[in-house]
Amino acid sequence: MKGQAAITEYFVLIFLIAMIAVIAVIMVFGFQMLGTGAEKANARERNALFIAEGILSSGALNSPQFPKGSVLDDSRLTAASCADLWSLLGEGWHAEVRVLRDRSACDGVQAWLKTKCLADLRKAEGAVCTDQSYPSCSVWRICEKKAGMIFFSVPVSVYRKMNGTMDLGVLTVGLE
Amino acid sequence: MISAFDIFRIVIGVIVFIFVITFFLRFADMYSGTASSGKAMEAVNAFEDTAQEVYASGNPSSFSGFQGFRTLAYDPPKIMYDSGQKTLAVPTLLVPSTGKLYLESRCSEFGWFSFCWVYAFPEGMRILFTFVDDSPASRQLARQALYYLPDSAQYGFCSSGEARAGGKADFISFLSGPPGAPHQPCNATLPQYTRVIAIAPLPGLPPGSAADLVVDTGAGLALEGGPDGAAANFTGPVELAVLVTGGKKALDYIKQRMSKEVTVSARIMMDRTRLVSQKMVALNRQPCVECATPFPEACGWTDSGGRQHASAAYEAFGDSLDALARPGDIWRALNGTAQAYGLLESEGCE
Repeated sequence: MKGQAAITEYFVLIFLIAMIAVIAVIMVFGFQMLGTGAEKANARERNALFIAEGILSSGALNSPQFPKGSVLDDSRLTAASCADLWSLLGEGWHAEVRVLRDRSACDGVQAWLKTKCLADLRKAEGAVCTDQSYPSCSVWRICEKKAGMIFFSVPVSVYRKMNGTMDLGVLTVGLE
Repeated sequence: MISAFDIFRIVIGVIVFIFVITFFLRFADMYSGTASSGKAMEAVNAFEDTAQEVYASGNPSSFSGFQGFRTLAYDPPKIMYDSGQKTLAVPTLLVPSTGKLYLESRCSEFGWFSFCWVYAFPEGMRILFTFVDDSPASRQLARQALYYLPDSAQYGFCSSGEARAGGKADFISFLSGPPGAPHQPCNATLPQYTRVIAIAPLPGLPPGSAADLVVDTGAGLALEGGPDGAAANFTGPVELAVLVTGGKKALDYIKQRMSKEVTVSARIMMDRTRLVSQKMVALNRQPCVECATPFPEACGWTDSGGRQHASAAYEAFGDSLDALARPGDIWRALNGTAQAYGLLESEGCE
């Protein structure tokens, strides 16, 4: 009887040691997985930043009047296709350039007309550029936006080729 | 007196001990492998980030993350290391080293298009020239290639047992001077990361000479690894600079990468040229600028009122882009487009 109890006690001890070992292994791998997940998220963010930098420095999209880049030419943005830019900068991303209109244009408008003025401004801001709508447009969408993308935005200057003026805009890059 | 139960406990104890020790040793081995390959991957990712930053910004940088790597090789565009490989996204010419690396970018500009690449080379890399025929043509060839070579490397010449290297500016001023002493084969003891470039009228070097690359003075031909090495054809100073730093493999990669970028950029530019010329007509913005001369025919593209037609100017540029699609010398075609684009710019259309 005493011998049986000792054997049971012995096996319980072995079981506990094995459990501790398994828990230790799970914890170590868990930390590793967390680290890998964080690294993956960092890599996506870095990649989004690279795509944004690539768009801002690409000779295919920038106005050569500003040799250091960072000034997007609206006519080049209109002409560029998704397939072309994917083959230059890598696949799996979406970009949108949106020119911002100066809201102070509605400042002097009477209060009852201001809502309409701002709505018109928003409407003008939303016109997507195509061969037909160019140059009366303010949004360029390059490649399809997909669910689950992470987004990264930077302010950009957009050169309006037809008017010879410069507008302020926002470049948003989405990455799968 | 040891009982049967004690013997049973000892046997089971030894079995469990061996099992636990084996398990932990195997686990530690696997974990250390995973951790070190993870670290190596992190270092390669960090290198790629630095290269991308240099490529996008044009600012030089340095990188020291490859310390402790047992193997590190570069087969453009793949970087191969202890536990894997990675394809670099930006055109990079890497001279692998586990020490400190310098990164610099260079671009070849054509107005409407520019092709940029990144050099990543070890601290203290030397590029030594040896002129078999120290003629103005040989020196001009070296000077042209130097323009596209990295600033932070050391440059010099090697003759007989003497190898001298210094800054790029000093070497350029040396090249501008009178020809030196008659050629002596380079047989100096050279430090690591030194490339000897012999500029010689082919068939090649005199006996007793050694060089990593023998460049023909006139025909755009180079022999890699000495007079009996593999032949590589190059066109212009950019391709020579790539050949000097990375060899034939790097040249093939850069040519292929550039051709792809030119094709895509030309396609975008063609569509854009068509769009701009159509819209200029539609929006009644025909002239780029008023023709400054009283003789309208002296201007490139004029109407009866002496005003230049933007659409005609853009059409001419579009025609020059067409040449890129035809087989032939891509550099010549690119220079043609640069000229046409320059005209467009000088006429105020761009």
